Amino acid sequence: MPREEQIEAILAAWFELRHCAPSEKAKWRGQRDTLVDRAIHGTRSSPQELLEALWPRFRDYQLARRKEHQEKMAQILHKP
Amino acid sequence: MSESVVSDRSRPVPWQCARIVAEENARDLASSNPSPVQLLVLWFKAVQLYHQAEAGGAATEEDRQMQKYMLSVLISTGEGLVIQLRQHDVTSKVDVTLADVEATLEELYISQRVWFGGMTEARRAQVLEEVFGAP
Repeated sequence: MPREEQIEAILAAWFELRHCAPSEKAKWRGQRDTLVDRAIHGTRSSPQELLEALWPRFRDYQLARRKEHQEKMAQILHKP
Repeated sequence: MSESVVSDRSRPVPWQCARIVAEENARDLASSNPSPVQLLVLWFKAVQLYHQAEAGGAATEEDRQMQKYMLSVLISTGEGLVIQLRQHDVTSKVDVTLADVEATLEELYISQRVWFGGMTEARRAQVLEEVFGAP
């Protein structure tokens, strides 16, 4: 998987884990951790280190998703 | 537990608002002897609120202190819950599992590390390059 796609997949699963219903937390944690483990395979980095390293990207990702959500809501509200 | 408690899930909540709700929760808990089920529901709601506030960042030193305080309270409450639930698991009453509680708690530890830990920019770049290759 290309670099950016791999990162995007981790960020998307991480976002779902942070914002999903409580009953879906373990499922999304499993999905994110599987992607993280796959990414660090064969490197000396730990899963925690990779998540810490990706944190600034994740913050931007959360803001982008929020903006996208607000735009969708605005479109719905302003639909004639 | 339904999706309704996490409606408008990505909308940031100001730290002031998060603090008011956290204090109300604390008062409710102090004024009665909450059951593990009540505690579990309140904890998940408080964590949701924390993550919404976190998404907006902490602009002032006061916000940062409030964030640090909320994190420490949520982590210690979560650890207490996990101990209780391992002895007497009531999670099915609110449609969650112990694994859901543990996953939520682990995310709080991650928040603590990324906000108040000390990974340098140089180390961050080194990890990303090692894992994904050069950008």
